[in-house]
Amino acid sequence: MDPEADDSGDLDGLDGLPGLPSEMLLLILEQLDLDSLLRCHNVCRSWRRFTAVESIHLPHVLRAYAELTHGTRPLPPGLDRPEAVKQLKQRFRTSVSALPVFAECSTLRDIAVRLRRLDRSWLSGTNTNFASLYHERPVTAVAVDTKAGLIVAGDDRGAITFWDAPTGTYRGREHFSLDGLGCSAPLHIVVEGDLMVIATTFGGIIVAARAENTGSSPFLKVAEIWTRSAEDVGESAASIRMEGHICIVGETGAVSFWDLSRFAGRRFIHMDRLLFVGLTGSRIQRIASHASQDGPFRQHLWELPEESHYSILVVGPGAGAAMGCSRLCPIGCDGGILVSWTDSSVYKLSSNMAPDNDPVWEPQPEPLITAFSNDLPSRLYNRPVGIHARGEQVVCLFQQNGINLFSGRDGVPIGALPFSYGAITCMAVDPAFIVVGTDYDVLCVYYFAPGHQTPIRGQGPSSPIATAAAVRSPSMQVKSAYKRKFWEAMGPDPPEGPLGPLVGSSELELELRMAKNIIPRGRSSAVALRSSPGGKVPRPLPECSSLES
Amino acid sequence: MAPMKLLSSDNVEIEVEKEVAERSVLIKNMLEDVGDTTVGAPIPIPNVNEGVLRKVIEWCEHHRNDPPQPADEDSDSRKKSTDIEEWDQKFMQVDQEMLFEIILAANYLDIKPLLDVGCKTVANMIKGKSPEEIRKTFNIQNDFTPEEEDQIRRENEWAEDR
Repeated sequence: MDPEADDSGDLDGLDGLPGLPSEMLLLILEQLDLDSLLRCHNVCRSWRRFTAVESIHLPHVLRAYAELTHGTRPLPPGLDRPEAVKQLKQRFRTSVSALPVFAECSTLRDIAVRLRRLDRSWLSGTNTNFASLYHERPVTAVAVDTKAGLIVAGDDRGAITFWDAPTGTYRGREHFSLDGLGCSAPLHIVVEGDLMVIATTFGGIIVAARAENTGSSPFLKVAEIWTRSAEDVGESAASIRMEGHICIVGETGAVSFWDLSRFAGRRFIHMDRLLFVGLTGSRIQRIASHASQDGPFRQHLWELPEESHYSILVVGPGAGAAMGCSRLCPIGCDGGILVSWTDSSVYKLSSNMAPDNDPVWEPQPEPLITAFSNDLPSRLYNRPVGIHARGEQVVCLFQQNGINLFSGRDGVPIGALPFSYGAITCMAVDPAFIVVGTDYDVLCVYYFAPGHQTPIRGQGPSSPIATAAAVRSPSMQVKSAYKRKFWEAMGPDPPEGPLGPLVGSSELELELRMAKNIIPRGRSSAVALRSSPGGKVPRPLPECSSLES
Repeated sequence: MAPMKLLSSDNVEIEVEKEVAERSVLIKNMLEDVGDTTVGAPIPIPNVNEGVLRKVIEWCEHHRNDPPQPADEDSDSRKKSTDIEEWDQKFMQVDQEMLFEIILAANYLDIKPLLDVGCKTVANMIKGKSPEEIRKTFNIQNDFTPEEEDQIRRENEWAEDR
């Protein structure tokens, strides 16, 4: 049997359904849900050939891909089907999971089967295997590097440790220091493609790029970012996110966009649809960024006036509370958002398209997940640490003392993962596993992929952690007047004053997330915004390359 | 409403309004090609017998006022197969042979919405069924050798719950 049977022309003369020509059976199979389609594979020999046709699986796998990546890494628009199939397979093999779950998939069907198996595993609410990785220091931030198959964790002394995700093997440790300031504990780590971005407690943001032969670290520091408010008031980033090669930094009252493409070791990655909602301080801000299709890359910074027409701040009991450290995450691939409040209730905001193409998030009056307890002790000691939606099916709520899984559709609890290592401080989620960092010096990995049957115990180096003096960092050569120079390169401040509403009319159009020609849905997932003339404040990009001199 | 006649494969003339018959892209194009002057002579439909043709015409009459299909075929026409109107569901409550004949006729006559409804109806017959149940429904022979059955079981390690 030819696993690459892609060409439906081969199917002529096969008697799929007695009395119907083969192209009719293909039309019928296209109407099926994925589970039924997978089962059809085992009906008889001729149906095997039909269900091996790649194009039947394309909509299902594309949909799953969009949900897993929350629509942030769409395939380039305008691909024909064979090319879309090829690129999608390549992405699944190399960059969707840090586990080699999809590595040997030769067909979209193989991928679909594994996706289904993973779904079942998640929906069962129980992990298939567990790893505890001894990290030697309290973990402050964790991320998954799907491309190299690594778990990346930072500790309270500023060391970044790399672990092999499938085996839990220690791979190396590195200190990434801010010039003139030394190491600082990472608050957030994001790995996207060949870039790693670390937001530190000192306020500076370290950009590192994947590099070969670097000894203890697969990444090498290439730049620092100092956002304006970090420079002025020493504030650290409240949220950080990578969409493609754009790094989005949210702080109280400001959001900035940074084009990191020049550090990625490759040229421009096609990514021109961005919209991001970040929680900064106690305010939710809507942020939009746009890269022009034709000319050089441009970015703009918007700040919303206080009287934003978004009503999402009032949906939860955490609104206005002093401990308003709510968490949010995207759900699905249509721009939906989950917000968790300090009492662990979770609200879902569906994005809808208003008639004037303005995206609107509609808060649902009832919480998706009701609060556990709202008394002071649980608000203090059982705060939500993070929230993650796996597709639209499973919502993982991370609290200080545990991980709970819920159905993403109705909020029904489906399981709780056993946890007994102090308090959870940070989390990251891969399609095939969950990893949490703890203040008890341990990383806990919950695998959801079959084939991982034995518990893993990982151990870091027994030698003491390198002292700051021993830290090797290329940026040591950079002058200490670094930040000053950086801001000189940034140019003068933008004009003061409110920026006016985002909705209006101008030539600049912003789109959200999805290549609508690829995702087969009744409702287009593209959302367009328009900015009013003068409503944007372009900020010149800093010439980062000059910083390396 | 101008009446016209269709001639089924078993040589039965069926009178039908032109507007209804034009739900079929094939007939519509044919009429445009020959011009309206020849209406009067029955149009032969050599691939469809009387019973099926009457059934198809019944569908066309009920859907005579439907808006035209959106041009964007790839994204919008792929709705969930549960989306079948009630009337269409009733209409499709026929034996399997007739159902397949309607699908074939819709394909031949180029009536896309009817083809869709037909395919969705068959898809609904497949949904949620085990391979054995599917074989039974459509009278399909299980032609796997024992070795292949073994291989299927191995492949299913990923697919099934353990």
